[in-house]
Amino acid sequence: MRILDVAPALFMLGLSATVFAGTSDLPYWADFTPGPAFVPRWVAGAGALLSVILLIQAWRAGGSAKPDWPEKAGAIRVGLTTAGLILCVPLADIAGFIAITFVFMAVMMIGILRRKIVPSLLTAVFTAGLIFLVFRWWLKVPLPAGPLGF
Amino acid sequence: METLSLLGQGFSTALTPGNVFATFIGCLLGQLIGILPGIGPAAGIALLLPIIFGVKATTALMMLTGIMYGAMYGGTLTSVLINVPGEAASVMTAVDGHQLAKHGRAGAALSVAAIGSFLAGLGAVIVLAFLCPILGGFALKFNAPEFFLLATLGLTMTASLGSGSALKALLMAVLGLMVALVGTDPMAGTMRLTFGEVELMDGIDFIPVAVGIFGIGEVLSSLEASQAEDVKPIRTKLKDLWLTAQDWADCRMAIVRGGTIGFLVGLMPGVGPVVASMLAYAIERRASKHPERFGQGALDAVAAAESANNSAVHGAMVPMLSLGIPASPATAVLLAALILLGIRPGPMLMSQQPELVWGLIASMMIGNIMLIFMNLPFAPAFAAVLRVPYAYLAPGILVVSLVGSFATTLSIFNVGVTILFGVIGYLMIKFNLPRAPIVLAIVLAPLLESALRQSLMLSSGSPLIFVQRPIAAVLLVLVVISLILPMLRGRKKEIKEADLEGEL
Repeated sequence: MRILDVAPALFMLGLSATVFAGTSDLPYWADFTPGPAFVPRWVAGAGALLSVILLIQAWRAGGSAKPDWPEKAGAIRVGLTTAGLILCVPLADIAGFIAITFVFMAVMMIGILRRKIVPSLLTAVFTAGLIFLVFRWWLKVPLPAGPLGF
Repeated sequence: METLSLLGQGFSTALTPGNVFATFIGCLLGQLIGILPGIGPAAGIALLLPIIFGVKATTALMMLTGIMYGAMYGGTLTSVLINVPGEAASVMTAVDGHQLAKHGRAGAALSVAAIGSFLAGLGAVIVLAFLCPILGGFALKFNAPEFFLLATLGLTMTASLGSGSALKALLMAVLGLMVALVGTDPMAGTMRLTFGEVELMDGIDFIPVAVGIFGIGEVLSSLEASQAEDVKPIRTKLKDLWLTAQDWADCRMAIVRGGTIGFLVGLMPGVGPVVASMLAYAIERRASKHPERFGQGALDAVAAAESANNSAVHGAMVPMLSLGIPASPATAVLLAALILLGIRPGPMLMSQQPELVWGLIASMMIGNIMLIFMNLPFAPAFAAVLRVPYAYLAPGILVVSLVGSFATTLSIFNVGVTILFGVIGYLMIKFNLPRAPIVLAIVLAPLLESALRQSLMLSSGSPLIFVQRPIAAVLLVLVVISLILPMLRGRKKEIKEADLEGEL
């Protein structure tokens, strides 16, 4: 079976079931008008139907087409970058948004992408400075600030 | 005559110093976004949405629209000089453009692309100026049933006319609808699919989804390749940009054909400049006197593809301005921008906000003129941007994505949503799932749901309302055709493959 098709189909089948279950306590029809569950159930139905058709297509097509996953080094780069992005969310409130973006960029360029230290730090400083000027100073966006004030 | 008078008023709005500056900034940013791989016009516009809150709606839209068509010009540079399309609509340009560059004709390729984009873009804006009022006037006859079917048609056409699997495109449109359903029911006011999370009460915002899927997802995918080797773009000088008389003779009809095809394709919801450039390329190969040159470095191939993609971008503005239906991910983000600015898109937009609409149309003409001046003499200067290693740009794109998401909603939760959809966008690339339908569905979902429920309320629950009204019936037929078309194409392909196997 084609994993390329089966995985998305199963995911959408699960999501359709979740939407259906999640709106099961809402009214489908309310007096003379469709209720809050009307559209979700039809959308869930359409999702389930399309998922089943995709599964059948994948089964009939045969073969074992898989996603083009990256090599180990590439996978590590993607994985570490994603982990870094996720860490930025809780740390932004503690250390400050701009400070954490500087740290993220420096770590990413030096640690993950293996670029030279000085240009990486300069790029991180420049980008963080630009973000400060545009969002904090010009647009007055109240970015979370840390102990250093930004 | 009325259109010309309105256009004149539009120019008086667009030519104020502030609006001229905004158009210039938009075009410049669009050019840079087009040059930078890993970020396209949809994500670029979404990232810059926080800037619009401090300016007038008309000025903000001129800038954001400038980004959209500016990116079409910018994408040419990377396609020609390093064989990496800066954005998806320049894929066909890379095929012949880079071959031309290898043979010392990079300047000619860049020049014909810029001129083709300019002429086709200008032509498209002129047609847009006359078409919008006609379509908008027609759409005033629309009511809830027509709007429901129009929104549905927008989604089904994304599947049937887009490249790739129609079934997967429809499935992704359904995913987009599911995302849009989270939050508060628009009519009853009850919570829906929030699972007790307070943060989800306002629903999942469009901007984090667009930025995540198109911005972060794309960058994550680019990081798979090793960033150790820096790209060396082919050098080009100012004098190389000059075209010969033979070049003009070869390319002029390609520009006309590409521009026409691009505009017509751009009108159709869900299709966009990528398909426009591919279709124009294929048709130009048939029409060309030298089809054997295609793929080896044909100047008319570049002219056709670039004229088509810029023309398509302008064509996509027609359904957006006259009907409130986005025809591409970038116009979907523009529509979201309109809503953020408190402006209600739809057929009434032209009559309620004429200064905005006509000012925008006039600014598109001015923007195209700015871009031809930016691209012809300054192409070598913009090409210098390509020398900045992607490894130094990627982290910046990621952090600006996070900051931009926070800035539009002031919610750290939405930053998390952006990262989640960034991972989803990356997985979608891996599993060959089209991303445009999700974004289109999220933007169309509120219109689709409210129009459907209003229609059924009007008809006391009878679905016959969708066939009893003539315009709705025609739209319904189009929806059915757009669903059947991919099935027929698939069947035709199966028969062809079976015949081939039989012959072997």
